[in-house]
Amino acid sequence: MSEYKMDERLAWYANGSLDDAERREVEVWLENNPEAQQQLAEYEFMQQSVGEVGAEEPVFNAQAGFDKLMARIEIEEVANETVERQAPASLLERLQNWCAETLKWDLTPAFARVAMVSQLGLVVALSAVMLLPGETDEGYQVLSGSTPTAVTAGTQATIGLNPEISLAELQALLRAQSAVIVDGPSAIGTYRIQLPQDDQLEARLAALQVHPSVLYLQRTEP
Amino acid sequence: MDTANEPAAEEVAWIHRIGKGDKAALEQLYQRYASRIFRFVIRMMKDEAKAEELVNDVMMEIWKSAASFEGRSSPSTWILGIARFRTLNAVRGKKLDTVELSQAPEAVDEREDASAAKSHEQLRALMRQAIARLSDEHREVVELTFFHDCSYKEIADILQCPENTVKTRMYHAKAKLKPWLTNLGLSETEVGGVT
Repeated sequence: MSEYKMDERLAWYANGSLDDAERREVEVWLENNPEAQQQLAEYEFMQQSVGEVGAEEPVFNAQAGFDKLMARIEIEEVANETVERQAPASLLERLQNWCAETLKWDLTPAFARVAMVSQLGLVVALSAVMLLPGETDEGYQVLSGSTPTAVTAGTQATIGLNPEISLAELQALLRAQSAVIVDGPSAIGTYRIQLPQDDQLEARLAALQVHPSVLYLQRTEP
Repeated sequence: MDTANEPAAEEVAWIHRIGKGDKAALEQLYQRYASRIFRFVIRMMKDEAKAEELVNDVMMEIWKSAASFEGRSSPSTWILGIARFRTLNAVRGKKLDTVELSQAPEAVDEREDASAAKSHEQLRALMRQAIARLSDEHREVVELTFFHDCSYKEIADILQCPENTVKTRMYHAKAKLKPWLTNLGLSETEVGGVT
């Protein structure tokens, strides 16, 4: 072991934290080595100086500090309890609570729990089958949507739209004026729409005309 | 450092009890460590009120995270590591209350004054003042070694640096203190008398 390696362990020889093998090596090195002994004495003086609490240093009041800590912990515990009480229980937790309180679930033997859960599952499955709607005309119509009256009779127009318009915006635009697409897109991207033939017709056309997504609108002459 | 295994084993048992919500165990650990943590913190930041607050921040963290203590390091290493992390966080963005020893304006004066005869108690107080002027990284190695009795391996764990770095920092700290040690009357013939 080099002298440098010994020297750099001296501080921890002084504080007694070296393991046995390291300590023996340092002790051999210290023997008949006045310079090393001087180094050790300086470390020991540092240890004495740092190890004591000087009169100039503040003293910590551990009891007062602990009381403050306890107060802080209690405040946090109360806050946490409040949050837990206010937090809505999940469906599973509520079911577990109901089972525990109403069925005395904890006291129920395991085989009885299995039987009860099986029966409950069967009841739920049967209920679902009975309550689910059959395949009816109404269901089909709901999916496809009812036929707008404007399709059957009305005034038609050719409309050119901003290519950036989204599907949702287009749907909103047409629904707002009770219009439906009856043809298109054409080679140049225009659509033919149909509007109800009523006293609002001119107003609907004017609203479409000024809409920022409408680039072109031309009423189709009958 | 826990030179004997018994205190460390006792502290591990306390920490496990704290993890289960045992406040009596927390009080035992508090009584053993709060003053040490306070000393560690106050010597880094010199703000008594803030240091007291940080002691409880550290103990609060121990209270909350004791259940996850796996014993990979000794309790003292774990606790002082938390204390150091908390202190560095508290002073982040600010310079710690210290100046490099070589840049301390009053350093030269003190070295000259130190040649006057003083009591051992006064010499040790002057030594503490000199150590207080070391850089953060040098001072904390000195503090952890001589106040907290940590081994260089434990200090490496606390500071999260290689063991050789710890030894090098101690070497440089000692080199910077050498003029003080000499001028405080710790010449080769006198040092034995002081110790």
